[in-house]
Amino acid sequence: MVKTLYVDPKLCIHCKACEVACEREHDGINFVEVYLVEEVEASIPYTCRHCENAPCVTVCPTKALYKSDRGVFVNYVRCIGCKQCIVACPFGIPKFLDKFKVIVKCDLCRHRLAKNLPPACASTCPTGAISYVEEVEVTRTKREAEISKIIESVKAAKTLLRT
Amino acid sequence: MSEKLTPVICPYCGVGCGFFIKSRNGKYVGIEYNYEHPVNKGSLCPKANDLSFLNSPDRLRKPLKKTENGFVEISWRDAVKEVASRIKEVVKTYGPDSVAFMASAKCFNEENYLLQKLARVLGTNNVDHCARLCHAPTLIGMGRVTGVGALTATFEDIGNSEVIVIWGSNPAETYPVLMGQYILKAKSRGAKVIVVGPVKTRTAWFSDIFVPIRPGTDIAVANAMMNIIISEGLYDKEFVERRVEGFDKLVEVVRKYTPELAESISGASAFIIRQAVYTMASSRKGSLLWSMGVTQHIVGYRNVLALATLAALLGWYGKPGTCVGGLRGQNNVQGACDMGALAEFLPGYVRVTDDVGRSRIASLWGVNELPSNVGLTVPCIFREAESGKIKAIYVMGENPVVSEPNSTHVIEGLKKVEFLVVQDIFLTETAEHADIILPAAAWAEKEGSFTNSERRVQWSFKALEPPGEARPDLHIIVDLAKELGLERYFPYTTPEEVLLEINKVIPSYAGITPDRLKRTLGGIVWPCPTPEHNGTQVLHVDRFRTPTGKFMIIPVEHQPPAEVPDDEYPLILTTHRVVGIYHTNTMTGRSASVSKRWPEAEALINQSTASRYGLKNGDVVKVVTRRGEYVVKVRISNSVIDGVISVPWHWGANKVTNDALDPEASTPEAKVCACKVVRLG
Repeated sequence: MVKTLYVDPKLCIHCKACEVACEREHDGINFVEVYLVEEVEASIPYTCRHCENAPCVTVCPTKALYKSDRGVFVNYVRCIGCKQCIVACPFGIPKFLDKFKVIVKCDLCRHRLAKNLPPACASTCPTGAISYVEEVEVTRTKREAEISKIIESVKAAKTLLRT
Repeated sequence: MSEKLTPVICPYCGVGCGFFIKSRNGKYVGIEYNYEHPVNKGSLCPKANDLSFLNSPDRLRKPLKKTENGFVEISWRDAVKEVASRIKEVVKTYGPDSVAFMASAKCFNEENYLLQKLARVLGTNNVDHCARLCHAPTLIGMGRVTGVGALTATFEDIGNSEVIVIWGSNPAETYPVLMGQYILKAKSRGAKVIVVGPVKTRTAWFSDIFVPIRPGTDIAVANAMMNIIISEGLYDKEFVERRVEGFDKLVEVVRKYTPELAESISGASAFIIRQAVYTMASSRKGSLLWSMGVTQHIVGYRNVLALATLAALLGWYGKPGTCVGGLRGQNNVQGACDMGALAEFLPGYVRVTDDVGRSRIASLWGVNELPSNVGLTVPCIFREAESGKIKAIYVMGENPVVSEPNSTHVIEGLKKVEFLVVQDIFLTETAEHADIILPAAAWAEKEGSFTNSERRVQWSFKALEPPGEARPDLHIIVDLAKELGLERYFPYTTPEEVLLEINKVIPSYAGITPDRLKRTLGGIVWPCPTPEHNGTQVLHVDRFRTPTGKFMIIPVEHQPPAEVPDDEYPLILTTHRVVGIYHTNTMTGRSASVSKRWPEAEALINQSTASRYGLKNGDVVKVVTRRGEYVVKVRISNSVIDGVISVPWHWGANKVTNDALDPEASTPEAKVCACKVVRLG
């Protein structure tokens, strides 16, 4: 199974470590952003979903955006700056970098992946709100957490019966 | 040259995360995560992700001397000579107690050890540091009831707790890694989280029960909780019977604190207080943690006694999965305390008044006599400077002009002293008043040991070269000692040599040798009495370290804060920290990626309060107290309760906070005072 970025806003404490880390790894540009929604006491880390059937890739006329087995990447040489991907992306992820007239987006820290290191945002996240894992790890963690809660409640119920 | 990775310990909060500094030719170029590190497993908060302050053009590179034409560069030789001769002169004319030293919770154990040794060998106990502003009440309070001032167990035990009570603390912003790696992990396994405090912080978002209380009403709530626990028989009877002394006295005192009385004092409903108690009493494996919201009060010491006792009734001591105490705010505030950088304690918490302990240390140091009178604490140093008793102050890596409550008086004191030396990495607000400024190497440009909030001692290696002529604090102190003619007490050239002496002087550090520390990732948790000992995670397993071996209950009564709202100042002012900014912002303020995300102070004001004063988001207001005014932007937030304004203190809000002192711990009441707001423009 291929690893990818999983985002669980329920664990986000809005510390923005991911933003700062991303910015350090990408010469001052950050591809992940964290939004505070105080009314509902939530914070949402927002980054590329690296879609399997990525609309940005579909609409790209020059194949500058492409999907590899790891995720969706940009070949800057091919990018003509037509911005079709900006319109197509349902998440509003691609950004147009005026300085170089190309599209930029999360590249999963491919310079780190090349050294077998996980992306910076997932590495730094104190809570695991952003993780770089295989799908099965996500499902397993969820199941384990749920099961341990069930165990606790069963234990509690049994204690009650005994007393 | 290729990139180099050097293992270091984070210079910010007390969690003690490990990571690598990435360097090229001795210059900082970035960081790399250390996924193997037992404390943080790679993860880091935003502050550690941008350490570009290390390369800041503002770094001090040469010693500076104040002249009529501002600061001028001088040589190290001249600087050290001048500092030594001026200190000698003051000591000769006015006696050693007219000099005061401020050690630093940012510096290594070895450096703090040397600075306090210098003060004491000179003949004064006037050596203190910012622990006085934070956990002195915890140190003294926990010391009285359990025998040890430090956290009773480790973060791992917090992670294994079944109930976690967080009181007057906001780890989601102040210790994000502790929050994420331990508290939220415990929660995901089913632990219940209870948060008590005046602000619905991001920590409180994750609470199962949030108990909103007015600032300064902690004892009323804690006593009511104990009242319920006792009257409903919910306490750990076996533990209380076997290991606790003074239970009957406690019963007497808490009897009148009904939940309804606590409600009328604190504003938290009796119902929610009861709910919290039932949840707490559901497990004998719990943690109770606190921070500045508990300690920075005139009753800080008594707050600690109340909370420590609450945990004792529940049996939350001496076993894995329990952890009680203060979460320490600086990377080495625990270590600086252990080293004796405190006015009343020699290294290893030997009271300066304890003749036996003092003479043991005197003989290890080879001096005939050490001063036996308790020295001046940080707030008192500045008061006595203003009154003219303190003539010279030596500040190592602290910035009291921004960190002290009622800081206008600190400035007055600094102006009044005859001689002020500041040793720092930047020209801070405090250094602006100095006669001599000594440029210090930052933590990554030198090596030594730090002790985190869990009592975990870790070695941080040298990764970078200091800029210009900046030097490690250790070398500066040793040179100064030589110039003062105290050479024979300071025969050191490396931190390792100093740590070997610490091993001899402080019993709980006896086994924490430099060699062991350097090869042990994650370090060693004290007490560690021998080089073969693996360290001690859980304290008080069989007996408390009190004279009787038992937990010594000291019941306490509620007392209102020094200032309560009145017609002139109708609101309560409290302070908080924000996740991206550290303390007085000297380091984070010079790290672009963090400072741009947290550029300025925002006062949190409840919608109802704001409506009464006609305030909206983004308005600029003057927060006025009896000590002055502070201009700040408004952010409407219902995270604070009605009638309370919360201001982050990083940007200078301590100008207006209260410096009324806790009589036991000398900690100022920065967390509550009366104020009013005036809209500007």
